[in-house]
Order: sequence, then C-alpha cells, then structure tokens
Amino acid sequence: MTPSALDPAAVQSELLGSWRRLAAAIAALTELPAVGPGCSARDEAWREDGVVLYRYRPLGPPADLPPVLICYALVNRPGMLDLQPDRSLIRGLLARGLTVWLIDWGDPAPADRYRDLDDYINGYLDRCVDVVCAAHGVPAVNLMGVCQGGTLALCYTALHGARVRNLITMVTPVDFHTPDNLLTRWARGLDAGRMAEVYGNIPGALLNAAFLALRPLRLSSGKYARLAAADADQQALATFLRMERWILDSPDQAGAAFAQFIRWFFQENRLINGGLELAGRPVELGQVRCPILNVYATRDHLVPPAASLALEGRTGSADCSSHGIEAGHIGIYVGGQAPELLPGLIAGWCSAR
Amino acid sequence: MTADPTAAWLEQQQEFWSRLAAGQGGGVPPETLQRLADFGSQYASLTHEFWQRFAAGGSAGPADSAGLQALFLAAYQQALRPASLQLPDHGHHVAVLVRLQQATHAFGQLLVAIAADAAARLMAALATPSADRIVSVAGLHELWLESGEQAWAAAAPRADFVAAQQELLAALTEWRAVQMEALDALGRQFGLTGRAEQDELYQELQTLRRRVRELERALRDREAGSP
Repeated sequence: MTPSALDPAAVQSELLGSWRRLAAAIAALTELPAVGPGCSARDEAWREDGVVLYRYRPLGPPADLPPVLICYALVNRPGMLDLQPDRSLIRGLLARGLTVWLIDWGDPAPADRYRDLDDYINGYLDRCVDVVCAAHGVPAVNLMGVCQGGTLALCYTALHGARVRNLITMVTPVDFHTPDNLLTRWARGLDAGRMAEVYGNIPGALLNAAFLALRPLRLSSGKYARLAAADADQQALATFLRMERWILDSPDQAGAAFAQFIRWFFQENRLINGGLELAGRPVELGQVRCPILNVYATRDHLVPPAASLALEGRTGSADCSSHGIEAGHIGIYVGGQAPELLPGLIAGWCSAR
Repeated sequence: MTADPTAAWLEQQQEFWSRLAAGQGGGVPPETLQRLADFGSQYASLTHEFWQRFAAGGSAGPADSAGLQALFLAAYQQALRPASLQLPDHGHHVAVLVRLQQATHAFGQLLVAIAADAAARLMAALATPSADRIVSVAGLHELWLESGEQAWAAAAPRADFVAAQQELLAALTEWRAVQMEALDALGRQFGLTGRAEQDELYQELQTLRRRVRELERALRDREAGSP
C-alpha cells in the first residue's frame, strides 16, 4: 500500500536529493581532522597498568571547593564528558571554578584478564583518591560516578566513607532488576564466567553490539539517515564523527571484573538484595553516609530511571536527593540544555556542602 | 615458463618453512625447529598435491564433478589432518559447529518473525487516516523505524528471544573455545607455550601486583604513623 499523499515524482526527487546529501556528507567526513579523546586541556597526574588519572587545567577562578574526581564506567570511554567545547560537562564544571580529575580506565591488556572489581575499587580508585587528596591537602574528595562508574563509586564510598566528602551518582544503576531493564533480561542467563574463561578479556565490540541492539533501528538506519540532513555542515559533521567514535570505540573488559559485575549486579542484584563483598568486607548501601546527589535521565533506555531512583531510602545518608533531567542516557551530557544545566546543578550542590 | 607452475611454488614454500624454522631464536629446542620445518614441508606438499588433483579433476570436465568433489574432500581432509599432527577430538568440533549453526538459524528465525511483525505494524499504520500526513519518503522512513522499533521492543524482552540470544552467544563462545583448543594443540606439538601456561603466568602476575600494592600501602601507612 502506498500513502496517497506520496507523489511518485516527488519521491524520486527526494530520494535523489537524500543520496546526494548523504554522499556529500560522507565526502566531507573524510576531510575532517582526526577526532581526539576530548577538548579540554589536561595533564597526566598518575598512571598504573594502563589506568590513567588526569587533572584538568582550570578555566575560571577557583571556587574553593574540594576537588571533583570523576569515576567513569569501565565500558565506553570518558570522552563523552568532554566531547567538544559546547558539549562538555567537564568544561562546564571547570568554568564554575571546580577542580576536575578524571580516571581513564584505559584498555586492559591480555595479561589483565584476572583484574577484578576489588582491584578496580579498592585498588586503582583508592589510589587515585590518594593522589587527589595529596595534591590538594584534603582528607576527602567529591566523588562523581558515571553510569557503571556510579555503581563502583557507591561501593567505594561504602567501604571508604571517610575519603568521600560528597557523592554524585550520574545515570547510575542501583537496582538492576527493575521490570523495564532490557539489558538485565538479556544478561540474567549469561554464563559470564565461561565467557571470561574463553575470551580472556571481553571484546568491547561485543558489548557495543549489545548496546546497539537495545534500539537497533534508531541507532543504525535512523542515525545514518539523519547524517544526510547534516549535509556539508562542518560543525554538525564533526559532532557526528565524535559521537560515532565514542559509540564504536569501546575498550575491552577485564574478564574477571566483567564476570563479577554481570553475576553480582545484573544477575544477583546484590546492592539491593545484599551479599556483596569486596576483599572480604561487606558492601552495603547503608554504609554510604555522605551527602548524595543522584542524577538520572528521564528517557534513559540503558539505565531506566527506576534503576537509579532505587537509591533513595536505601543509603545511610541524611542528605540524599535525586534529580531527573529530561534527556536520554547520553543526551544528559551532550543534549541541548545539558552544557548549562548539569554543571550548574553539580556546582551549586557541591558549593552548598 | 615451467610445465608445472605449482612446482616452483612448492619449492618456495618449503624454503620459506625451512628458513622460518632456522630463523627462530635461542631457547627453542632443536626438535621443535625440526617439527616446524617438517610441518611446513608437509603442508606445502599437501597443498601442491591438492592443486594437482584439482587440475586433473578439472580437465575431466563437468561430467566427472562427483569424482572431483571426492578428490576435493579427500585432499581437504588430508590437509586438515596432517599425518604427523594430532588435533583435538574432531567430533567435538563438529558438534560445536552444528550447535552454532542451529543457534544462528533459531535466532535468524526470530529476526524474520520480528521483521514480519514490523511490516504488519507499518501496514496497519499506513491504513490509518493519519497516514495521509506522510508526504515524504523521510516521513515514511520514520514510520518504518517506529514500526520496527515497536516490533523489536515487543520481542526483545520475551523469554524465547532471550533464550535464543543466550544460546547464540554461548554457541559462539564454545566455537571460539574449540578454535583456541585446536591452536593450542597444534602449538604444543611444536613445543610452543599454550594458553593454559600463559594464563597461569597472567594469574601469578595479578597476584604479585596485588601483593606489591598491599606492601606499598602498608609502607605508606607506617610512614604516616597509622596503626
């Protein structure tokens, strides 16, 4: 059946025009310079086994607040937080006088396949906190966990409460068993231990495929059809290229940590059900007593709002507030209102504490 | 120009394997080098024979296609299982491959069903009065995307979809495992380190890293006067 409003001649003309624009966009893409990992100036402050701690250079007068340490997810790379000058959470924080540090987990080497969550949380993350505290002469940091990094940050804060002054969790899964969590449905029967045994480190491309499969048409055909609309707009194409790089350039996952995360969080939902232990110590949300700002995205298809909102009432904090932003999982950082809204929210919240 | 162009290829291959074996650094046992050279030579001979049979069968014309197929099969099996090498259980490999094919087929069937559902949704949408508002291909494409996503969203959480997807992933993982076992078995016959030995070292390395960091932490605490 063909909609009566579609005129064959107009269809032909539209299709030709679309293909021409798409061809022009692809040609222009090939001329663009290589995309870097971020847009803000930073210095490497510490490195261990490929994990790197960066300190960003200030953009504005200091706000005299404790430093913010960003703990990103192990999946994907943190470049999304500093995509380009007009879409950068990090620049927004720097412009408000905050000192920003970022952990880049890097790419696990084949020899890192036995690196587990204890190594990440009680190891690298703790040593990054050491470095930041020493640099500023403070006993505790403002810890900001992003997505899976928020889950790691919650575990860290539960175990090392004295070292976290304030905790900011961004689009962070807490309850992995909310009914609308498609990833969990897919992951529940996964033999992640066997995968780690066979693959060693889990290929980043495999995780990419899973993320894209959540909305396969919108994230493939839909996205590339929109590319034609960008035509030869250099700015729009540069943004497209940066996003593509970020989406498709996912690091491999250390096998042991991946298997633990799938089993303990996706399958057994231990943050909610209990039973989570790291290095023989129980990890309980009730042990998190510092002020918490829990930011979630109302249209998040990866971490449904309910998965983040589950934090409320489960911690030992007397100052825990949740804040929803009208955006998707990524749009929260790079969407139209994000550059102003999110940094302003975080800076204001930190300065009040 | 020689009468048999593959003869020159055979000679070059044998020389390549011989040089490769001779070029291995110290620490590689002489018997390993010999096996490497033997394997290369044997591999080259088999390939040469294969091509000769191919040429002979081919000249017989299409009428002898069954014979050619048999020759192909024999040469292929021989090439895959050189006499001097012992590969892991072939039957297990076949079973895993069949499992992967079945899993791929089952998942493919589900994708076909989702595509059919998407098409039905698109047709239903086009039959509504609001479809008159679609005046461009872009609008039609958008409706197709929406129909497809709806069909996907309806199917993706279902138990049969989840089971098929997990079976496909498990089958892929097992296929990868048998490939690695085969490579390991091959490597072991040349005296090369296998995956198990490598993993043992990786595990030990990780244990040592943890121990070093514990000691560093203890030292820092001690210097800071902590208990």
